[in-house]
Amino acid sequence: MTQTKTKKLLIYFTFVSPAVLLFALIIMLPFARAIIFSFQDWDGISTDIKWVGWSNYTTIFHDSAYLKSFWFTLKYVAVSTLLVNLIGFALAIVLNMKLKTKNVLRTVYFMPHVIGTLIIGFIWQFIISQVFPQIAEWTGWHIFGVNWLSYPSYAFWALILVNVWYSAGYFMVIYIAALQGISTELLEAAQIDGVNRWQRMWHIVLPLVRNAITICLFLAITSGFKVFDLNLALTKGGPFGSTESLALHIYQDAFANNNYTLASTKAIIFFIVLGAITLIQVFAMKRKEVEM
Amino acid sequence: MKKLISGVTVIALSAGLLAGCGKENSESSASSTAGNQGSSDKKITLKLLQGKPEIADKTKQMLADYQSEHPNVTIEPEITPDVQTRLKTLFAAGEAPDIFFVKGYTDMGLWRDRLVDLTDEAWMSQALPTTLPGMTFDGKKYGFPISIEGYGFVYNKDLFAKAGIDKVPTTLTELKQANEKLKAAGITSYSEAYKEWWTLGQHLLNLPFAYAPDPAGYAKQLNDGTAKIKDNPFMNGFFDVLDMTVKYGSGVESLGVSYDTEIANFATGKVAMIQQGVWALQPILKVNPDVNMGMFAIPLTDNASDTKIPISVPNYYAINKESKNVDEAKKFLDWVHKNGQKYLVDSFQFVPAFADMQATDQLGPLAADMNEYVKNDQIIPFAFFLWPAPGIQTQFVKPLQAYVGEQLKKEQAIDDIQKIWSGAVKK
Repeated sequence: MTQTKTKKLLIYFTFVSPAVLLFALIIMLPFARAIIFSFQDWDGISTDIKWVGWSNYTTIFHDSAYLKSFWFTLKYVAVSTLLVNLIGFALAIVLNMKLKTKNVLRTVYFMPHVIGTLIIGFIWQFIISQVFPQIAEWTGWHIFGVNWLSYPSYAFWALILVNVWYSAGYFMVIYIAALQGISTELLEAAQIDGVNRWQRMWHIVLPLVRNAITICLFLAITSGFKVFDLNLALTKGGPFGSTESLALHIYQDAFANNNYTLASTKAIIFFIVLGAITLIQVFAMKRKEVEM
Repeated sequence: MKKLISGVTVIALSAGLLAGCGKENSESSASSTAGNQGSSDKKITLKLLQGKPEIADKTKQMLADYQSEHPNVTIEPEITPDVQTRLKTLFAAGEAPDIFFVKGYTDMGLWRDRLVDLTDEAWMSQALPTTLPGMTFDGKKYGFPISIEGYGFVYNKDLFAKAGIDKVPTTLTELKQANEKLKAAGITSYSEAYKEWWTLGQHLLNLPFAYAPDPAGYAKQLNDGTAKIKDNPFMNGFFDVLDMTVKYGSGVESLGVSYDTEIANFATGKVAMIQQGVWALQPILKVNPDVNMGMFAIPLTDNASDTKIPISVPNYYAINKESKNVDEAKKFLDWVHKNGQKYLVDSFQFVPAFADMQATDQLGPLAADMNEYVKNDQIIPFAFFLWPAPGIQTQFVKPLQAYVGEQLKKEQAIDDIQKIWSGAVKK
């Protein structure tokens, strides 16, 4: 009995250890280092690292640029999470119907997600600065006549637009899988009972895909908070720092401003906030999930 | 059967792990023994980290030639557009390169603890005087200047002729007149890439600091607070030029113009001028090889004799003090200097930073115009190398962009720049 138990344990460790080892090396060690950095003062270059206690933590609460980028990131996460999920879900509903072209369309909508975000940023930068004016010329629509990357509010929506275009297909795939998991018997039974479309959606479909919603919200929130490469490639945080995401701000602080330790402190706070928000979200949503 | 499979898996996985560790061990021990012996027939590997991805192929060619002359030496180059970030990560990982790019003044000052003193190298006596202040600390010299770069307004000669401008502007008033003439001829003057931090926050903003009679002393005064940026006499001229580039250019939308767009607009003749330097030559020619262009210094006053062109060494090669092969690295730099005409000038098309190399016509019209200013000693430095943190330009650009975007008044923008400067000094 005990022998099989130890053997099981051995096999268990064998399979888990490579992942644990990698996780420790790539995530835990740097994370621990960042915590240490957050109590130090270092420019990232010199051989002299000083201990400064909590002073980094008090400094960042007076750092208006940091708070500004926090606010921007929150706005970005709220809007993009909402839009990405709504559009992803809508696409999933449509492409779960009996359409001849549904396989082609699913592939088409998922396609953007295969391209790297940096490349996408550069492509859209070209589209926005070169193609939009052309569209404005043909249609006369003022909204395409201005350079979106020149004004803070337009630049914000440019980021949202590109992110939705990029991610909606990914969330669509998760939602399609969830929709396909709903048994047709249930839906047919409801139909026989005389349920209209809206009631069917609200009372049967939505509760049954709730675990997919939990996952999708989680993914959208975390990826929204961590947005970096798209931000860098499309707006570079501009104009005048109005679209600087937290990740980009921290990177700039560490590598451009030589504030290595202050940036580590900011990253730690960022981690705590992001961790808290996602944990609350997942716990709150989990309680409402329906088990079949 | 199951037992066998799991057994095999265990062995395979643990072997994989061990192999991973083992390889690294053997490698590092090999390199350390090579370093200890240091004799010339031992295999030696030098790691080189540099920027300028546009000359990556030509650099690799140079290294290949060096290696065929020195069969015992292998040079592993890494060429990245962002040397500063990469360098910090490499040092943090304990894999510091032996030779790497360092920028002059403040950057060199930050790195000097880690650099080999190159004062007594043979080539140092040939380095042009303008290359020295950026790499000299306490009388010791730490860098091998790669080239000289300069910038101003790059202009389209045909469009200038079309608008009836017969001589390049040398004062603020003349610049304004030129812009009016271009406007009258229906030609847009500028397409400034104010989306990029370096065009606005580094090169243009450099001017009022570089035009100060003693830029290094002025930077020191700003650092200890005895001078304020708002009292800079060239600040008004700077904002006049900035206003012109916006008014006779793309207006507020300059903020959405990237370097690529700027180059494309200039190369296709849509605009008459861009604020760029000698490095823009190849990108412009790539879009349109027939542009008839030149470059002139940007005036900030109405006194023509004030007008000078900013010149500096964009990058120095420096040697890592902790390198196991310092002597080999020195030999390499010596070789690069001896063959500098062939590689640095003829192949890379750099304007030479050494007295014993000759600038050739091949370097193109921008370098030729720049060299006229150098010959007449009408030069000012890249004063942004003196700013208190090497990346501070990325902060300075924000208030300036906000000014272009009509979010801040001139005084507020200057005030913000002062705050960023003082904040960087305090740390």
